[in-house]
Amino acid sequence: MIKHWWKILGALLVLYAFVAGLLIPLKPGILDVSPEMAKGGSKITLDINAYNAHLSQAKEIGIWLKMDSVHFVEGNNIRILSDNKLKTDFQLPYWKSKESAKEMTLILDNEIDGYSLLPGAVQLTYGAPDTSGISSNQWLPAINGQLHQKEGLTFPYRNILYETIRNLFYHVPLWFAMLIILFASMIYSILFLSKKNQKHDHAALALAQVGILYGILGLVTGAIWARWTWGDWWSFDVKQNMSAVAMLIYLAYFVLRSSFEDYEQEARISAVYNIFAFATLIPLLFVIPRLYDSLHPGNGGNPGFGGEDLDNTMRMVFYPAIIGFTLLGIWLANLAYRYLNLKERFLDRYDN
Amino acid sequence: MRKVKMSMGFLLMCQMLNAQETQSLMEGSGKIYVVLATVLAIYFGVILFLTIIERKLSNLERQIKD
Repeated sequence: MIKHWWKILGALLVLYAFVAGLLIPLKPGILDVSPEMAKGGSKITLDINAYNAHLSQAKEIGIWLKMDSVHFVEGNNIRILSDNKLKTDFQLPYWKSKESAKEMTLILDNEIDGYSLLPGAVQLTYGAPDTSGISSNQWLPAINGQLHQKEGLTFPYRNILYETIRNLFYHVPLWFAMLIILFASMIYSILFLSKKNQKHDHAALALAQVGILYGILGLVTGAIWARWTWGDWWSFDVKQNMSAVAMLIYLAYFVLRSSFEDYEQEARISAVYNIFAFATLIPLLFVIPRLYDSLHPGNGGNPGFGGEDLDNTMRMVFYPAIIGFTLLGIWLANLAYRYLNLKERFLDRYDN
Repeated sequence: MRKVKMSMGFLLMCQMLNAQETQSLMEGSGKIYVVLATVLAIYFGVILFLTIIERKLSNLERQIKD
């Protein structure tokens, strides 16, 4: 039992990643509003669809449209239809530029859900006072009162992503774990070349098998995630393409292994190939995607998952998930490794 | 042959996922079903790996017995 501690730890961490990663709720947010365009000076009724909110239980609901940090307009006559739906009226100030509409951010605040923002919720289009009109609507210089903060553990709410922000605990750790496992595989290949111990070759092969499993799972989970956020299974994003190329390079490793008659030769040449395969993996996954435009966060000028996206609650699940998937992978590799050792021992004895 | 069938099955599954109903299911409920599909993909991947080792081990056991 004691010598299996790392397997138990790995299983527990993966379990934790599944349970905590799926059960911690998303922070309340705003799904959409209508209308999305309004004339300056007009009176509009805004329909607001919120997500995960508790509007019918909230007592202090505040709604504002924000043009910039010193121009606000407050919603009045708030009618709550359900926990996630409400209507409110806005008396909009004039907007005197005919050339450009102005995007306004919606701020929805209450004491249970905290505040949430929807940038670019409403576009303010041209509308100036007519000859007789007296301007009765003015921008507020600030929000009256204090915005609330949501209490308790939540994951960040992001438009388009919504709940799929949780995939960060499953898709990304697979790649991290793959990298660690393939690195270990390369180390065993180096050990084999210097010590010529067959067991090192078996370990390198077993780890490469799990590495490729994780890589393919990373591609599949990435495709599923991309289908409903980027809009297609495969967007020919540079990082997608390069990781597919990396997978092909590793698949060639297995083809190479099976093409030899002589075991000594197979082990030696494939060990050298494995070292080069890992050496190409790093530029393919971490250098080239940074040089081109990529949809992936942290590549091609995109900000990485960091700051507000990877907040402390996400880190609490994300880092254990990496360790958990790595240990689970080593466990799987350990089974494959023991199989290879058994096969070598018994088949040699019986075949010759 | 089995691999061909499996990849055909995968393609068919992708086709099914394109259907309208699935679309609204995946887009709805804050896209939580996308997370479910991801978790299931990992689950089946690990099970597949275990099944392959299992089959190889059974083969080896048979050969040792003979």
